[in-house]
Amino acid sequence: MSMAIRGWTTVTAWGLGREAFAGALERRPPPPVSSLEVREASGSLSIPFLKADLSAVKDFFPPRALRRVDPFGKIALLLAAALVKERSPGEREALGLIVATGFGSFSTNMEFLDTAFAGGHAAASPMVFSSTVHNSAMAACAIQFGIRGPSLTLSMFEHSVPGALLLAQAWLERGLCPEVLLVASDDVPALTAYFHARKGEVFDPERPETLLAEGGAAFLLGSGGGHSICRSAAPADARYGTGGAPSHAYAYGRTYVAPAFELAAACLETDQREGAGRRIALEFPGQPRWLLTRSG
Amino acid sequence: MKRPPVAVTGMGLVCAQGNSVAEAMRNIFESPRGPVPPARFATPLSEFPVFEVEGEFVRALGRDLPPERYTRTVRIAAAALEEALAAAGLGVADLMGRRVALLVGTTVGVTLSDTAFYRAYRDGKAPGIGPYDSFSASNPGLALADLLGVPVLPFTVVNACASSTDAIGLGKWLLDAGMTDLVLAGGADEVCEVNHTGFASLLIYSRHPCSPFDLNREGLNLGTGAAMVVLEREADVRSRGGTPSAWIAGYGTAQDGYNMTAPHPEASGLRRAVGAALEEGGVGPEGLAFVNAHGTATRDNDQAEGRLFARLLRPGTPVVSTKGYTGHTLGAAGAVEAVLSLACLREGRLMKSGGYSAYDEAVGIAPSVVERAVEGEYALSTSMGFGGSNAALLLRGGRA
Repeated sequence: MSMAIRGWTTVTAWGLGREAFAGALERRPPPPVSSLEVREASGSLSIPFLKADLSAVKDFFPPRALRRVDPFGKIALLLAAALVKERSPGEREALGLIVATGFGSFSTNMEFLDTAFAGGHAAASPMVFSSTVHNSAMAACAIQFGIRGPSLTLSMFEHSVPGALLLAQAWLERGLCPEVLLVASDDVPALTAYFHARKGEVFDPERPETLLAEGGAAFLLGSGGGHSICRSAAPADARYGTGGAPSHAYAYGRTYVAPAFELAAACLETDQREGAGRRIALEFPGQPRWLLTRSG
Repeated sequence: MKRPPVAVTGMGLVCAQGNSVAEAMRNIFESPRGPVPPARFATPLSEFPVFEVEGEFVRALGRDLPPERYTRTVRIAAAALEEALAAAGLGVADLMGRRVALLVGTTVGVTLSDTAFYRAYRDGKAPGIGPYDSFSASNPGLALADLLGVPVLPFTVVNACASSTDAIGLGKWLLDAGMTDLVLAGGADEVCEVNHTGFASLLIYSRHPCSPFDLNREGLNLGTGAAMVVLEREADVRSRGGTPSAWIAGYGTAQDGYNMTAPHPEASGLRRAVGAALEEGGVGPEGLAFVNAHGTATRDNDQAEGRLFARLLRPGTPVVSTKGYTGHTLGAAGAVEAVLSLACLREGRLMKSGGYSAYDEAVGIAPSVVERAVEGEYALSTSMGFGGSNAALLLRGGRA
């Protein structure tokens, strides 16, 4: 069975939506590089990275709604809002929801420890602790949009997005929900930057694919025409992917949710081709091969 | 819609009551161990007792498990998986050439919990990155897949305290859909300084052995635990000469969409999850021999869950919470409780629910406080998690 991709969007350092992503893919504007401070024996070290441009959140949410949401959750909420904000409450209630993440609430876990170290264990923040669960972004989306269907978070580094695609297909085939909202989201924990820096890795501001990156992509999956995706070993016109397959990391940076960006790039590419039938294989190490096609 | 059950051909368990299914069941019925002050990590919050597991688990699945590389969560998960595979009569070599999915539910297993490392980093001492390497190597689903050393499709499910109920249920659905031929599923979690401190901060942590559903309940005790099951389609088991005696008959999952930490007061999501699990198994509430509830002993959880069961269940249906024996093992809880429930169905006896003495009108049910024979072949195991995640498994089994 194929799944139809009824909508998709991305958010990166270049901004929200397909135009921003297409710009990064095709015109390669200079990467908007931010810096992340990590602690070192000699003080702090500034590491260039790609910070997601979340300025559009104000278009969807009042500031009060996001007071307790961490960056991982804000990325997920922004992506979800862009895809389902216009849906009726009934349609949103019936949605299935899967969040795929490499790090989940890693940063918030460290923030919680900061509160325990700063004020003593007895003064650790319950408010922060309540957001340390890795399904916090999923919960924020469910609460914000009234989603009541099956919901799930996967956190297994680069395998999260391919795993989420497989489970979304299982849900749709089973008839659990008419559509699945698949949200891939990751921020960049400072400790991760420290780890990569200690390993001596190079972060080149001129080469975005070397920079740790925040961001994500979301897909509304269901039935119907347009883009469709299925597991298949059938011949393809092009290969996109990670771990050896041609990648577009220059347009989103280094992230464990890269497979979601590759799928978005494939959607964009097939949209821009004349006629039907262009097929793009999506290949991720240790995972089934997916085939994206565009019809009509 | 009713769906066929999938067979449970092997189970493995590591919890405070023992490091195998048999040992844990024996201790629960004969000499249950209680919670003790935390001893595996330094904490000023020693007044909150925990259910800890004995042993270091430095070898399983034919592999050395050095603690500096693999977290305790992964090591106990590997031990539980080893027991489950052995019970199923499967060696690692038997997995070669089969489409195998591996699903592990967890919470702590996907976090960096080495507080000494983080404190050193925070203090600008530039610590070595060994603990981060261990974090990277210890994602439970990926680590177990790596330790097996055969191609499997890995999943690490992080749905808070419903994680491993979901892992087992999703495994059933992957089998139903023909996406895999064999499933290894369960969960693992450990008590550590981070979650110990966190639950204390939430003021839902008990200084005494927990007392699920009791009027005077003070909150939960955390526990370390892991449980894994081997799932196969019944026809596949029979084709290799086996006769299943335990099944996952149904699974349901639903989201509250209500609050980050508190369950919906009327257990809206759990009600739908339970309804879906029963429908999938083709069984009504009257067909349940017992319910192993989430039963954390927190005020909100027990009240929401109790109200649901008071409305849903046939009067007299025994309800227990096994967290009085294992503590709340968080992401592992659903799998631990499913395995204990299946073991009860197999042995034909049900443990009493620990720590209960006084009826709470607001809860609306009294758990079973005597050991009793199991009358029937179906049991329900429920999970509720932070983030509004709810899941239920309908289990089927009989006397071996």
